[in-house]
Amino acid sequence: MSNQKSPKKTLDNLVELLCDEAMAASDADIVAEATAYHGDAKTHVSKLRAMAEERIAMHRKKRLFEARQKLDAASSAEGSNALVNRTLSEMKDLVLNLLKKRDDLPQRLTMAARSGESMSDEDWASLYDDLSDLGFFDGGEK
Amino acid sequence: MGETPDEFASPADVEQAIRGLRDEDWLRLEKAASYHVYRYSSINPKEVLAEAVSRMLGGERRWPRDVNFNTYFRNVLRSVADELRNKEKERLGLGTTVLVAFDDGQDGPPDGRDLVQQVEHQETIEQIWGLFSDDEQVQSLVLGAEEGMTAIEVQKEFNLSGAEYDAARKRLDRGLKKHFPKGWRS
Repeated sequence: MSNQKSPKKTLDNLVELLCDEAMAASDADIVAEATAYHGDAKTHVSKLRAMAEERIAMHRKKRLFEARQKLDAASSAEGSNALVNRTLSEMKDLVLNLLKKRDDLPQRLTMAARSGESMSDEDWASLYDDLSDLGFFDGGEK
Repeated sequence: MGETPDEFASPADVEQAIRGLRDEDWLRLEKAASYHVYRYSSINPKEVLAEAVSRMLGGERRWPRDVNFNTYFRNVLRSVADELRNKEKERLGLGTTVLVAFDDGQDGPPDGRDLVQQVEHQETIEQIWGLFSDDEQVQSLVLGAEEGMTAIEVQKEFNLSGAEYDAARKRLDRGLKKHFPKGWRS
């Protein structure tokens, strides 16, 4: 009876059917199942949310970096440097100057830059943004 | 890249929808992810979820505005799982090409490893039949899967009500989880 068809296709179809079951499960059933498996469903979900937040933060930085690159390209194409947005090289210079001048910067943010580790352009832009958000460039550097 | 056409949601919308998922939604999606990689115990369902989140946010898999977010998420899980499984197959290495006399729905002739997998898959199906030898309604679902039938077709063909179909699907789920706690392949 079951020998006529592709076994792989049959299992794939069963997986789809079981995914339908997962998606249709009642709130009570799905929580009970997760509790039985993981102990505390809430704690387990908080880990999934944390994973998603990490990815969200990563993509936000990436989008910001890409947007800045576009702006840089646009401003250099127009021959104008009057925009508030910094070029990567400016951001790097500002961060390095700040590192020389101040010793009260958050260590977790600046550790890589202080230790001379190789940092990507994206890392520099991100560090600039973080320090800027914390107001370290509000005293005239910005 | 240009502007996001109106028929697709923006990355900000995707972000908002991800944050808006309820605990139960996360658990359902994780369960679906675990089934998609059920036969590959080396792939962690959380890896599938994380990669799906990345692709949704990065716009590699865009969200059509007229599709429910959870359905879209599930579809992305499916395609990510397909990709990870293919990578895993490549990592495991391919055997010598062997011609076989039956069609397994593939584009080309299966190689030695595929042949082994076909036998394993067939054995799994036989085990599933054995597990539910006294449950005709679950058998209807397995037969429907073999025939590539939709849920509606199965209900019609085997005279099952919607409630009976749902209950049989639940028994199938529980039975498989109990019998194959680590997946269909170890």
